[in-house]
Amino acid sequence: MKREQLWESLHDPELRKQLIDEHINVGIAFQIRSLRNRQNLTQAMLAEKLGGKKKQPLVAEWEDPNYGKYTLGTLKELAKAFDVGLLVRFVPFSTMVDWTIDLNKDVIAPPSFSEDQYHITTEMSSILKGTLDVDANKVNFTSSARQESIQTSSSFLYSSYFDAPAKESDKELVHA
Amino acid sequence: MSSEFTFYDYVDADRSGANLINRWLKGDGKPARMHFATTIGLLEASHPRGFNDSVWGRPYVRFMDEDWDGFIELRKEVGNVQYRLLGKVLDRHVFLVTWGVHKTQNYKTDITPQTASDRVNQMIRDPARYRREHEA
Repeated sequence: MKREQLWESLHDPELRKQLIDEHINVGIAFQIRSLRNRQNLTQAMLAEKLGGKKKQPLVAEWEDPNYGKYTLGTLKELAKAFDVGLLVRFVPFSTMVDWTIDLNKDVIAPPSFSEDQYHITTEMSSILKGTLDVDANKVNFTSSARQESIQTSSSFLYSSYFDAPAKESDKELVHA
Repeated sequence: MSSEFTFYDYVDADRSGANLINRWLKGDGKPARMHFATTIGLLEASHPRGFNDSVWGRPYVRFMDEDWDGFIELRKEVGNVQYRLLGKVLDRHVFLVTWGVHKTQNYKTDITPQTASDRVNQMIRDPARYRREHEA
């Protein structure tokens, strides 16, 4: 889909209102279904996580793009059940266009906290081992430079958290 | 952006030269325009049927049968009117060829299934003339 045409259409206030409505109607419905699928949950299993099988018909309604009556309470419950974050923010329309065009599977069905944590710890581990997949053609990242970068970052983190310059002995502890 | 699918609109190259899907969305189909834009954006990024996280199925997409076997339909109800976009999925391409409106028991579309199939063939054979990437 072309970004320019979508942006052009938003000069019409009726279509701006429609876009907000549909990001809630269609966007949330898709996310609930995709998250449920990603986590291998049936509607009944999700209902159980939300407090009981009585909620199963509600799950089916929430996944329907014509539903559109979500409350913040419902969304918070779902976020807890899926163990994912939830953002409710006012944004410029350009952000909404980005969200319409530049989607990917991890945006539609984001990883749960445990999957998220796995990605972060794996990446950190790769950095420390010097095996992070950096584009070697663009970045000539020598081992010593990488080590220096890590030390600087750690130093900065230490300073930020403890409001004091990091000491040499502390640096050694961090990198031990 | 990692796109799984690309949606295309039918261009009436032999007559008006217009993108017929976009023209309808700007006219009679306007009440459903952003619904289709949002739905298409999400479907373009979603795994196809067969993957456990796929959303290619009801209630988001309907796979049709009988006269329209092989075609898909996207739907949006506004008031008592149901707006539909019809197309065909081939590999990772979706060819939108026409629209439909369902109101008080009457279903109206502008072409027959045979014409719809002919349009798909035109879009495949001569992409430069007969198709354009979907315009919201």
